[in-house]
Amino acid sequence: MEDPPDPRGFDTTHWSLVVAAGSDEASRTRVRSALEELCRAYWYPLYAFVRYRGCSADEAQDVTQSFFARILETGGLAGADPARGRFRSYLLGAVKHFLANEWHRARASKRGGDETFIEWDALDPEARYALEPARASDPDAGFDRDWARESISRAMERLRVEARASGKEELLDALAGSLTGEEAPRSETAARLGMTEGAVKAAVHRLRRRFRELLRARIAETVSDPSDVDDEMRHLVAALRRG
Amino acid sequence: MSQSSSTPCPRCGGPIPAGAADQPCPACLLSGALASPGGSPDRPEPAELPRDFGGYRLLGRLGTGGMATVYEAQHLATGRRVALKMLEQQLDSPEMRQRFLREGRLAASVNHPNSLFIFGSEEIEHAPVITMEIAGSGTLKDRLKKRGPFQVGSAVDAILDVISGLEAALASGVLHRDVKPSNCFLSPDGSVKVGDFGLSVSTLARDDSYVTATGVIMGTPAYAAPEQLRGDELDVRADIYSVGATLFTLLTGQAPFEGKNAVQVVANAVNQRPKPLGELREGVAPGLERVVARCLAKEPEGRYEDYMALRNALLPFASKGPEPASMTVRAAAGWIDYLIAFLIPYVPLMLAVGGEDFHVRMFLERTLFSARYYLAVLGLGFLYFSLVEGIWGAGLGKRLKGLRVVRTSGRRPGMGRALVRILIPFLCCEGVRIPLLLAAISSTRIDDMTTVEVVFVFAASFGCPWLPVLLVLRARRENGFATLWDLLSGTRVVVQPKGAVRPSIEPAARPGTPATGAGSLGPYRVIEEVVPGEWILAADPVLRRQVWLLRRAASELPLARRNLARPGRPRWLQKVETGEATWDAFEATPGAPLASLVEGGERVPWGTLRHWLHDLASELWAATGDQNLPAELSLDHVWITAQGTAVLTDRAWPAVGAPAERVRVGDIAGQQRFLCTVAALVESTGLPLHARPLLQNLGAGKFEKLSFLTGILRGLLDRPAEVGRGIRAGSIFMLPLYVWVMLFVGAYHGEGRFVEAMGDSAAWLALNTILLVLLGSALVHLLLLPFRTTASHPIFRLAVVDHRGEPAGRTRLLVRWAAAWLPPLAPVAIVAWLPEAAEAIAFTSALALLLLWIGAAVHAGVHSGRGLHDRMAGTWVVRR
Repeated sequence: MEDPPDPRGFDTTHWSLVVAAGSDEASRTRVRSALEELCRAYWYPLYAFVRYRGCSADEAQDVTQSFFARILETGGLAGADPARGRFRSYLLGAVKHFLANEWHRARASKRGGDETFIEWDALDPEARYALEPARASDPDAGFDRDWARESISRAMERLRVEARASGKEELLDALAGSLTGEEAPRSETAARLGMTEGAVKAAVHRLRRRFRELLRARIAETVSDPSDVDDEMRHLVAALRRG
Repeated sequence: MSQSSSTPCPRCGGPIPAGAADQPCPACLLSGALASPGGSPDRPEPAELPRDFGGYRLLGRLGTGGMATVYEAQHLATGRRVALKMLEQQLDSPEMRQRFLREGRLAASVNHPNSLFIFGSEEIEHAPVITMEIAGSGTLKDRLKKRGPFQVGSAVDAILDVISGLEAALASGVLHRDVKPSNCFLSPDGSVKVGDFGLSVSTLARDDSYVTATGVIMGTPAYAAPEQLRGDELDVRADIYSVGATLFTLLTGQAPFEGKNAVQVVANAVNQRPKPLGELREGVAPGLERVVARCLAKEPEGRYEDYMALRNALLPFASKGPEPASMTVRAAAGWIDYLIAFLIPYVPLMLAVGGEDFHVRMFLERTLFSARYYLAVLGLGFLYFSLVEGIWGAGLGKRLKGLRVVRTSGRRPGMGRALVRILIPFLCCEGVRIPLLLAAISSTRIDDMTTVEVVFVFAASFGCPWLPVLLVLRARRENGFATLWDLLSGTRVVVQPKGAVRPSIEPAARPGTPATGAGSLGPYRVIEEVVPGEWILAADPVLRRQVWLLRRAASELPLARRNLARPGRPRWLQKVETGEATWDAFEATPGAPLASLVEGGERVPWGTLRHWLHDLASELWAATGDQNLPAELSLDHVWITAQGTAVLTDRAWPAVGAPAERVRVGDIAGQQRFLCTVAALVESTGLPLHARPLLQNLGAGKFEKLSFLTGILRGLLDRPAEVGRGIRAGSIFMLPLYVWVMLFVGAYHGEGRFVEAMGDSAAWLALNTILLVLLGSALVHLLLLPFRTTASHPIFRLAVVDHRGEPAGRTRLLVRWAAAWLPPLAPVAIVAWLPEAAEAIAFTSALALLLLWIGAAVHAGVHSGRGLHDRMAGTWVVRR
C-alpha cells in the first residue's frame, strides 16, 4: 500500500490480478494478499453499512469479520454479482448477499468467527461511527459516501507520510485547504510561512498534483478499466454532495 | 450510540462530518482532484473546440485512453492535419512523461504503411504531446459499431493489414501488446493501420527497462492473451492472440470472452474456451474458424508461431479469393501424387510376387481372387487420395506445387468427395482398359497371342491412360479450370495463396548516433553531412530515430509534398530554420542507396528487383496525380530500406563514381525509361521467362498507363522467381527414376530374352536397367532438342537460357546435351565392349562412372540454377 503509485496501476486492477492468477500455491498466496489489502483498506464503509442495516455494534463486528473471512476463503467470488467491475459495487453487492443468505447460517454454525482478520480493539469502530451523520433512508448512498471518505483519507495519509519524510508536514498543514481548489489569499499564506508568493504557488501546485496522483491511484485500484477512474470519482463526488 | 449531525460545506453545500469540521470538505477535495492543477479543466471539452494550442489548432477530440487524450489538430504553419496525443495532466510526472515518450519512440521506430506514422514530439504549454498521422476514417471499433459485423472477406483483409503493420513493428523490435479493434485505424483508401503503441515494449534490450515490471496486468482483458493477463513473459504469440481476438470481434461483433465486468472477462479468458465462431456467425468457413481458434489457444505453443504462418493461413479467406490452378501445374502435381499413391504399394508387391501373378493371371483366371494384387494397389492408392485430399486438402504433390482441393464453398472436400475425385478419372481409364484387355486375352495361354492381339493389348495399355485427358477439355479459366471430376464432386483445385516475401537488405553501415560534441540543427543532432552544407543525416534525440535534413533551395515545399504519406517517398517531418538557411526534415529510413547495392556491376536477382520495380512504378503512378516528383530521376534517387522497399528521395544521393544518368520523368515515356534503367540491373541469367515480355514491353515503352505495369508486376510478385533445389532435383531424377523402377520391378521376376540380356544377378539387372534408362533418356532429350525442351522441363516449369537470358539456341542445347549425356554413355560402352571374362572389371568401372555421373546430377540439383553441364555449355536453368 505504501508503494509509490505505479503508473501501470492505471491499466490494471488488483481484481484482475486476483482472478487471473493460476491455481498454484504462489498465486493463491498472491490472491489472498491482494484481497486482504483491499479488504483491510475498506473495512469501515462496510462496517458502517452493516450498522445502518440495524445490526448492533457487536453483531456488526461479527458480520464484517465473517464476511471478510468468507471472501478470503472463497477467493473473492462468492455468489455475488460484481456489477460494473468496481470493487465498491462488488463489495456492496456481496455484503448484501451475505447478510441475506449466509450470515444466519454462518452464525448458526459458528463458522468464520474464529478468524481475527480485523483487530477491532485497535480500530474502535464505534468512535468513528458516532461521528456519522444520521442517514435517513438510503444505506447504499451512505456506503458510497463512506467509501469516498476512506479513499480520500488513505490518499491524505500517504501524502502526510511523504510530507513527513521530507520534513514538510507543516507546509502540508498550511496548504491542505488549497487541495479543494480554493485557496486562501496567497499573500497571507506566504507571509505566514515566510515564503515568497511564487514559492507558495509552486508548492500548492506540487501538492495538488501529488494528491491527485495518489487519490487517483487509490481509486484506480478498485476499478477495472482505467478510463473508469474519472467516472468513479464523479460518482463519489455526487455521493458526498448528496449527503 | 447516537449519530451526530453534519455541517454543510460553505463552498459546495455537501455535508462535512461533525468531527471533521476543521478538515477540508471531502467532496471539494475529490472534485479538486478531478480538475487540473491550475484549476481549469485540463482536457478541452468538445464544446470548447476548436481552440489554438501551441502551433496547432485543436479541431475535435478523437478519443480518450488510459493516460492520454487524442485530438484531431491542424498544424497552423503547414496546414497539416495530425492526431495530437496529449498526456493527461493529472498523470503528469517525470515517470509518466518518460513512459509517454517511450511510446512515441517505439512507435517512431516502426515505419510501415500499415502503422500510424509518428511525426514528432514536443512540449506545448508544459504538456508533452506526440503528433502522429491521422488515419481519417475512424477505427475498426467505430466501423463495427456503425455497420455491424464485417463481411468475412473484408474482416480478413483488415486483419492482414494489421498483421503487416505488426510484422513491421516486430522487425523493429516492438511488441504491441494492446491489439484490439479500437487500436486499428481505417484510412480512406480502406487500408488499416495499427496505432497506439501505449503499452508496447521493445523486444531489444536497447530500451529502458522499467516496463518489465512483472505481476502487473496490462492490455485490455477481452483481447489480451492469458499469459498477458497472468503477467507472464510475452512474445509475438501474445500479439497473435490479440489479432485472433480482434478478428473474432470483427466477424461476430463481440469479443471472444465477455462478462459483466473485467473480472469475469479475465476469468473467462483464462479458463474458458471461446464460443465457436460458427455459432455466432453463419457463413464462416470451418477453415477460418480453425485459424481463429488456433490464434486463441490458451498456451502460446498452440498458436501460430509467427505472422508469416498466420498470414498464409488467412490468405485463402481474404476477399480476393483463391486463384484456380492452371492445368499444367495440376498435371505436374497430380503426377507426383499418382506416383506416391500407386507406385509405393506397386513396387514391393511386384518385387514380391512378380509380373506374372500381378498382371497376367487376372486376365486368364478372371476371378476377383486372381485380381487381388491389382485391387490391393488400387485400394491403397484410393485410400491415399481420399485421406490426404479429403482431410488435408492436398497430397504431397499438390502441396509441393502449392495447390489445394477445396469445395466450391471453400471448405475442405471430405473423404467422400475426394474419393469421387480420384474414382472418376480412374474409372474412365481402367473402365475401358480392363474390358478391352479381357476381350483381347481370350486364350488360356498368353504365348499363343497373335501379333494383332499383342499390338491391341499394347495399344489399350498405353492408350487408355490418356482417356482422362478428354475429361479436362471442358476446363477453362472462366469455370475455374473445372474438370469433369471437379464438377461431379463439387470441388475445385486452387492455388494456395502465399504472401510474397520481400527480401530484406543489410542497411549501409553508418554511424547511428551523433558523435559527442556534434552540432545541433533545430531539435536534431547532426550525425554526418551526406552532402556538405546541403544534406545532413541527423538524429532526433527524443524519438531516437534518424532524419535527413535537406537545405531548402528556394521556395517552400508544396503542401501536397509536405502531406505526402506514401510508402514510396520519405515523409516530410518539419521545417527547421537556422540563422542562415532553412532546412526540411525528412524521415531517414535505415537502408542503403540503390547505387551502392549494385556497385561494381553487381546484379540484382529478379525475386528482389521485382518488388523494387513494383514500388517505384506504384509511386510514379501515384505521383502523376499530385505532381510531387522531382523533374528528373536517376538511380541515385532510389533508396532501398532495410525491409527491402524502394523509396524515391527528393534529391540524388551523392554518387561515389560518376553520377547516374538522369531521366526526365514528366511523361509516361520518361517514367518508363527511368524504370527501364532500374530493370536493367536485373541478373539476366536468373530471369524467369515469364518476366521477359514485361521487361521487353517496358524497354519499348509500350505501356499506356503505369497502372497497367503495376498490375502486371503485382501479379508477378508471388510467382516463383528462383529454381528451387527440390524442383531442379525433381526435373532431373523423377522421370528416369519412374521409368527405371517400372522396368526393374517388371524384369525382376520375369523371364525371356530381355531379362537374360540384362544379366543374371540383381546387381547386373539394376546396373543394366539404369544404363538402359539413361540411354533412353538421352535419346528422348535428343529427339526433343529441336523443340528446345525436355521431357521434364514442362512439368517442372523450367527453361534453359543463355548468358543474355534468352532461351538457349539449338546448337548450344546440343553442346549441353553432349556434356550431360555422353558421360553416362561411356559405361554403356564399357559394359558392351569388355569381354565377358572381364565381367568384374566391366561392372566396377561402369558402376564407378555411373556414380560419378549421378554425383554430377546431384550437384546440378544442389546448384539448382547451374549444373556442371550448364557451365560447360554456357547455359542457365530458369523458371518458365
